[in-house]
Amino acid sequence: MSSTPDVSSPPSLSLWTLAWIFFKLGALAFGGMWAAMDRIEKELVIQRGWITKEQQVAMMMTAALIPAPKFLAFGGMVGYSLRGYVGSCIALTTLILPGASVVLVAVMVSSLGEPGTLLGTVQHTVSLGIVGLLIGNAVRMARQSKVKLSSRLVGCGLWATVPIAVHAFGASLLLTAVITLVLGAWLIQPLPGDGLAQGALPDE
Amino acid sequence: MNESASVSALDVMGVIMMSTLFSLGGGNGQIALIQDYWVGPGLLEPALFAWAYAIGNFVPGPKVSFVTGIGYYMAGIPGAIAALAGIVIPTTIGASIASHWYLKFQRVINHMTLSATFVIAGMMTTAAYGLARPMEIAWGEYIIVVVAAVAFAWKGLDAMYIIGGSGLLGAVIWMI
Repeated sequence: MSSTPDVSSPPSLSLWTLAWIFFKLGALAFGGMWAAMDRIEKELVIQRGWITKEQQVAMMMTAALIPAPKFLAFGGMVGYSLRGYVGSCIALTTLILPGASVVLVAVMVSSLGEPGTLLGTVQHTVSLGIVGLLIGNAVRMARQSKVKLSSRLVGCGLWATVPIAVHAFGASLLLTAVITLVLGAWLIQPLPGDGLAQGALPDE
Repeated sequence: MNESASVSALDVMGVIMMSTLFSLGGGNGQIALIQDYWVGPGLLEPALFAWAYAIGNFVPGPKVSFVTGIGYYMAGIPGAIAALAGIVIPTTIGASIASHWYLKFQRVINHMTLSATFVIAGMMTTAAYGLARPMEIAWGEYIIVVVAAVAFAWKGLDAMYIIGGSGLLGAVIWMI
């Protein structure tokens, strides 16, 4: 990516409108940022003209590269381009609000099922599915990173180091993650001619 | 349902804020940190953690909204609000900085992302092991784990279908 979103000429719009549009996006967009790309384009590019298609793509790519949840970061970037820091905060708060409210109500009304009951059995198999999902997500991230073969080996070594250090030696996860991150930044090289980081593909 | 009285809303916000930083490169590093801080030490039931995460995959909007459920389990309604704040504050800062100074930091971010891909993969493996360890998984049940992992890693199946399928399988097993 060579461009960053243009934030020089935000159109005038009220914070209420901004909040309402992002609330709507948060309530209707399923499957994460990339899955909601068409809906985002329809709402922000075609109907409102708040950003261009190119800006949308640039913001989505940038959002995937900064240390924050992608979809939220995207909302924050659009909000910032339109109304500065306040716009950023309002856009991403209203974006997460519908989903967060549903989660909150769901955890309040559901409880931990006893083993042998329908709820208990479903929760157990869902937990198994999530363990598999986490492993699958880890494998997918490592598989899809575009780095040199030697760097891939180093990367796999770092990948294995984290769980071993934490579970076998009782090391702090945070400290291990920071050390391996710095070590990896020093040792891992991109593919020749690939000027861009090609880390994880969108999986949100 | 407040599973722990020893965690304050402020603690919740702190851990969620810190965990947000490990979303670099599109990874779900925050899951690993939550697991490490609360599930591992026994402050949060693994099944509740998984339950909140599962629900988060079925709701609209950003999937990270599951942290609201985690916040609620840890410190009630104030915990849920604190979790939301823990996501919103660093993301606002990050998104604003990215909008403003992205070009300046582009090379550094790109390079860190290469490393983060593997480190977050390690963090997710750590979380998976930490979640599975107290579950007393029967040998036959590992098939569900393997199928879910393969379906996601190689077949690209959406998490929503994997979690939904796992739940459906649980219902079928219960009926049998």
